[in-house]
Amino acid sequence: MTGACIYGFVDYRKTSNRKEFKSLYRTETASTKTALSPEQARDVNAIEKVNEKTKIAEPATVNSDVDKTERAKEISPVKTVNGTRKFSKRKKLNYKLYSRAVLEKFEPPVIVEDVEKTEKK
Amino acid sequence: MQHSVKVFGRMLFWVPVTIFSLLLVYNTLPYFSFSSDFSFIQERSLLFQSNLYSASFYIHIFAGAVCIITALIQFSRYILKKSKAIHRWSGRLYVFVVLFLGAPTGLYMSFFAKGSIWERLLFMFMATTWFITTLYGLSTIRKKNVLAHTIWMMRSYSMAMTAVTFRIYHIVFYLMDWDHLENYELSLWISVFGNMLFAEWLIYRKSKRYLRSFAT
Repeated sequence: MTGACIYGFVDYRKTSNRKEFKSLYRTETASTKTALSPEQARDVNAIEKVNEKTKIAEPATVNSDVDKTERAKEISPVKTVNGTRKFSKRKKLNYKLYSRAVLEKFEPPVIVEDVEKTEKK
Repeated sequence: MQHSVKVFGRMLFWVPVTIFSLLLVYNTLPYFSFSSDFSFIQERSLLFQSNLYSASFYIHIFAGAVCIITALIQFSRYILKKSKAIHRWSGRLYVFVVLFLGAPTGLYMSFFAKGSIWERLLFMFMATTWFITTLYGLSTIRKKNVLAHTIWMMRSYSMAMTAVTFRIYHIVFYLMDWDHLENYELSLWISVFGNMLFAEWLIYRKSKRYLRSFAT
């Protein structure tokens, strides 16, 4: 135990000076707030414009495989928090959650490719 | 009637404890593929560059799995009645694994634990308490003091079980949409002090019954 304590302290002193160590456990929280690319941001703005026109109240999922006519109906208000999109995910219980690791991995948002076309319609 | 209530109470405690303990061991097994494709390892990729940290981690999870399995055998009244040899040998294994593998590696890794300085200190406290309580459990049985041995081993087991209770709180807070770091820290504090308080409550009940036996 004394050895573990000494080695731990010495190694901690060595490692704690490193830049990577200071941001060791913060990386995943930062990555969840990934900024959208200009193209994605444009798409988001387009969706918001459509939302304003259609004024559909209930949020719905947006998939690229959905038929274009149905898509116009499905496009809904996208919740934005300080310029970043917030996706509410339904959490499922799984035995793999029984862990000390981060329980949620960031999944990039699915964005409609032909939003501009639907906007024209 | 009173006996069946007692048995039901014990079942209510031991069935979930056994299930969650075995699930913990089952979830630990994939780590022995020594692959880095686990979010726990990826998150600590910098630390895993060190051979000592890496070795400590694998020893610690091995020790944890052995402790949890052997502890389940240790508290079984049936096994204790049927064969004391099983209790003795699994006890020796538990003590060896805690004193020489689990607690020292846990203490080493606590310096690099997730969270603030307080969480690191809490991990150090856990490792030290686990070590001391197990050591006392060993020394008391060597002096043939069975009651003190039971009490110290209950305290030791409560520390070992923080791994299990932590995961339960972690999932509950996760489902409640708590932020990961807050969830992690709160689950850790509740699991450590919750387990300690629960063990002390059981010891208090046990000692009360013990003292009452002198009165009658």
